[in-house]
Amino acid sequence: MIPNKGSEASLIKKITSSIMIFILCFFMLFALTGCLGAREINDLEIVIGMGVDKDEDTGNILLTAQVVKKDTAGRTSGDASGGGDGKAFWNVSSTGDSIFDAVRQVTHKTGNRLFISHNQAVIFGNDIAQEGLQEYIDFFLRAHEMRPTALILVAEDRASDILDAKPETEKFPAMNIAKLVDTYGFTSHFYEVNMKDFASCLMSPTTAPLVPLVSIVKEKDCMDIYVSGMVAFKKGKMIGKLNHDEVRGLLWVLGKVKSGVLIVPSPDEQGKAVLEIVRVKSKVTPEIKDGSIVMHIKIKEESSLSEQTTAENLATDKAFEKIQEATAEVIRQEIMAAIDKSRELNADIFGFGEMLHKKYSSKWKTLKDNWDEIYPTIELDIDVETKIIKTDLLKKPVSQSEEEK
Amino acid sequence: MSIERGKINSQQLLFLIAGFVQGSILLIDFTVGITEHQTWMVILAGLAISAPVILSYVALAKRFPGMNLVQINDMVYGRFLGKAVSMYYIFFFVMTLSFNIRDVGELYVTFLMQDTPFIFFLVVFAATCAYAVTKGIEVLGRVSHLFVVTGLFVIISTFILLIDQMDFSNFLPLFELPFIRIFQGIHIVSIIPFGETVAFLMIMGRLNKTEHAVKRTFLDYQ
Amino acid sequence: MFRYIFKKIGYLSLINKHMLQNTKPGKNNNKPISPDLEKNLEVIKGILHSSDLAVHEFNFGHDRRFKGALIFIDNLADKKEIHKNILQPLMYDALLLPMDMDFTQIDTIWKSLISMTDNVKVTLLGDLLDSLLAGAAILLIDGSKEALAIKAGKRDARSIEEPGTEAVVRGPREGFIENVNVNIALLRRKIKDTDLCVEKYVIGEKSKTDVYIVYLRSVANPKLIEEIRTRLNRIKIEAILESGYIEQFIEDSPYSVFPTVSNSEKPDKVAAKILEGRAAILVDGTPFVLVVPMVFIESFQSVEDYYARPFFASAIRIIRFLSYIISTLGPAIYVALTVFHQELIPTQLLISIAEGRERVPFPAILEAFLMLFAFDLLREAGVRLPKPVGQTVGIVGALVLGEASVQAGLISPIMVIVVSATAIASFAVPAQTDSGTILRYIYLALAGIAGGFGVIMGLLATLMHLASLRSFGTPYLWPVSPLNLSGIKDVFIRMPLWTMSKRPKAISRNSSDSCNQDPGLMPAPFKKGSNDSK
Repeated sequence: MIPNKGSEASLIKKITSSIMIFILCFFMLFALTGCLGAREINDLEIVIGMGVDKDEDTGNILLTAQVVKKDTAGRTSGDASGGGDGKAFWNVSSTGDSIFDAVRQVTHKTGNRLFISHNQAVIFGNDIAQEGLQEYIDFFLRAHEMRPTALILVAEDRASDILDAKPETEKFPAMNIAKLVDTYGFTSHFYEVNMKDFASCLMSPTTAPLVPLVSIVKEKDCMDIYVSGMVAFKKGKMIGKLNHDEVRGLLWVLGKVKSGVLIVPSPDEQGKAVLEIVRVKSKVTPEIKDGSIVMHIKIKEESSLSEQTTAENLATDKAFEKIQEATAEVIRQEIMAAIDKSRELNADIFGFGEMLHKKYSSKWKTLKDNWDEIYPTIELDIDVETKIIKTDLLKKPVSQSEEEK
Repeated sequence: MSIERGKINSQQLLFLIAGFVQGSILLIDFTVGITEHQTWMVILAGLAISAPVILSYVALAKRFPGMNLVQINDMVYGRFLGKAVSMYYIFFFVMTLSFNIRDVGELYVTFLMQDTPFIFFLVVFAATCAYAVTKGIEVLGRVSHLFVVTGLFVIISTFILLIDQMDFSNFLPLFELPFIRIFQGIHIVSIIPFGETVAFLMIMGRLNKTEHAVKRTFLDYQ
Repeated sequence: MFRYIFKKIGYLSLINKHMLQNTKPGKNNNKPISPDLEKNLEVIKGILHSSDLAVHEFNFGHDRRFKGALIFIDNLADKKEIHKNILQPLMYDALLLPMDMDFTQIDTIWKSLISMTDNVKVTLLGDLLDSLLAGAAILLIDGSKEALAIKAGKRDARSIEEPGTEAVVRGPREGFIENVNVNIALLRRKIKDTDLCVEKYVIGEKSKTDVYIVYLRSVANPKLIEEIRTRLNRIKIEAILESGYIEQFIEDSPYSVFPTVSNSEKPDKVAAKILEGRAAILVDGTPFVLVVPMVFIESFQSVEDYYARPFFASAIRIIRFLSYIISTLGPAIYVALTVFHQELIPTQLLISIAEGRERVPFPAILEAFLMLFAFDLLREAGVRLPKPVGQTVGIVGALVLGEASVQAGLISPIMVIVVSATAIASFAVPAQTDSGTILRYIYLALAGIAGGFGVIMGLLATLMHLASLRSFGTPYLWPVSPLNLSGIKDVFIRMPLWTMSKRPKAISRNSSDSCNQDPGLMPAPFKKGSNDSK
């Protein structure tokens, strides 16, 4: 079969036209590039920490954003001294009627939009916390760039001061704070709270959220950032502070104690035995008996003997028993301190309400409405079991033991 | 085009359906608004309730081997009524399809690329799907293996990595919400991922094995 | 849509073929050889009229009463052989034979005098010329309608060396060479089986290249062999200069970036594939042997995987998979992350990337394109140039691109790292280097346009495409999809050899006797008492 020329020419025409369509489609893709939300890293102001204060003069919000200075940030500390004042960050602040307003107002100073995906911590000033976080937290949860795992903290005084304090080893104060919070496990004197945790506590009708407290300690010529203790909120408003022992009392109940130091008198009353907490398990069982609520708190603790300041050999069964008893007592006291505090503030920092909700969901409806009256009347049954599981490297203290003489 | 020629085996159909349900589970988000922390119960209940419905699809496919939904309709309802019923089904498929594509586009626009026009995602996504369809049902069947296995891998690895952050007491309390809301949730769940599998009646006729493979396929998945 | 275009293009080529065939000169193909020697010589000289045609006329037999002529192409035929084994017997040994023997019969000469093998009797002028050009010496006898083509060809062949493209640490160092006969011998030495079939084809109107199909008759799927035959018979072109010509005419999807015909220079690799039921296509004049069908996974398998112990082989294979992912997706993911999804980069890393990019004037996508382009340029220049100069190019490239451009603030240091990692990774999977290079640019463009979404859509489309490919009837993604459990033993990890007792189902003839070894060959130490002799 030999086709005539006409059909061949029309074939070629068809092929070329379809190829043209493909090429056109391809180039149309390029036309779209302008509006697809591409942003070069150069054009970003990377925010690593934010502080929210109240502007003293106008009563507006004063937002402080810690922005990475890109030209000096990545350099090693050796040659960082070459550029400017040697700071790797820039605290830029602005005021606005709302947080989002302030975030956008910052562009007048930075020239670029703030990029808050890498925000490590949001610090609220004391005045804001007392006024209530409810109205300020919305933006941080709603903004799609913001991570719900960003830390939330409350400053002893003003948040902007905390962001200004340049740490000695870290380059960025905000990173430093994140690091400080991250290591809470060594003392268990506070615990890590992020936006998501805080918000879910805030949504519960009974549980009182806690937020770690950050403050500045002035020493000689430098200022150190210090995180310890927590602030309790009720209905979004700050109602009081818990010191570090009280916080640990709370953590015992929640089973969140990771590690920490317990100091008990040694059995011979001559010195102290210092224990490090190794493992903690806790179980809270709510019970409603004859109309009164009892919380059964059962704590199992294991620790190691880390230090002793007496010559007596503590690594004996007898001594262990005494130390274990003393430890249990210390723990019980810490828990009681926390409970006393929460009763004093009348804030359910333990989340007892939610536990009751899960177990007695039918009765909960009646309890919920007058929880404030019920909470102080809750009875507690604390059972602490402690055990020393090791003595680290030494079996006996470093002293001349009397038996050998 | 080549969809007419393709044949798939029951294993591939299994993976196709698995992939379909896996994809739809992502869209379960909206029932969470209704049933809150009891969604897990709702999904299980929906699965149980939709089981007889799905078995009826299987029975249909068995009764009319080698036929798709439109042909079955023609046969059962006669020519004119059958066409009308088929039109109604096709309308349902189009609705579901546009709903699903919109949902995917919305996911991207809300979470990843805010400044991008919505239509861009829809067009690109639809184009990719269209490309897949032109390749034929056989290719889809083969690809479904990879997708389902990858999806399962992602789900399982996420599950394992997050296991220490899970608090199983969040499953409680069990029956707190008003029953009407749970019922509403079950209704939605039994239709959206499970009932929608009626779409597969369109390709049941493409199975290369005997009809009882169809039954096995559905039961396998459940 | 594409299919439509393919159809049309195929149709056009059909038209062309028809036109070619019509204009083909068919003058002397079917002419018989005439009994008149003088006439024959005249015709041959007239057709060839080339100065390297040697014609030696001589008389032989008792009383020199027979007239003969020996024709050969000067440098193709081995003169020593001709003297020793053709002319000498004709001139002298013929005298030892009885007087009355009739030397006008070619058969007589062939059987009594010529002490060389590989002779063919030709009766047509066209065949005569073909043999002549293939290097044979043609013996024409006056009074005979037949001529004898004697394979006295000599071939300058290089010695068997280690192939440059597929070097191994452990394994045979021999590689194929340009001489196809040697190559077939190399394969024969690996598989000494009566089933090994060698089929010859001559393709190319001018080049008349020898093409051989080699396969195991009892293992290879007969449909596959039939398919290869029809596809080879389809080829009507002037010349086959390399096996790549054949590849492009027989592959399944010419518009795909992925190769559906594999090639190798190593006899052991080709032998292994033949044993699995594949067919090899050997082409004279090139050391590259084609093997069909090809599956995607083959690109990630190396012969050494089977020589090394399974643990290391599996680890290396996983590295190969990773390196293919890096080489195709590396720059695209970097661009997608830094331009669209900065929230996914760890904070510290983001800060150092930002610091590195601070002075860079280009957008990241352009930067990536520039660097990749520079890399491909360097690679191409390095390959083509003579070795000493090539090294200089490499050094200059490394210094200029790696050091100076970063110092000058044109390129960010992280980009240099990304591109170098990509470059190194792209060499880890030699069979897919070509497809990887093209895909890399496509993905990069998609990443620049739509970030992660674009890359994912690109990947989806690629996956669909891969799943739709077939190579001589075998799905390209086999055994992953469609899933084959016994095939998957050799995909992501390489199971011990004694577990792989079945031939690949999709490739070999049938599943019933597809065992290539006894099952249960797992090595075990001698049990006490079972063997007392030692």
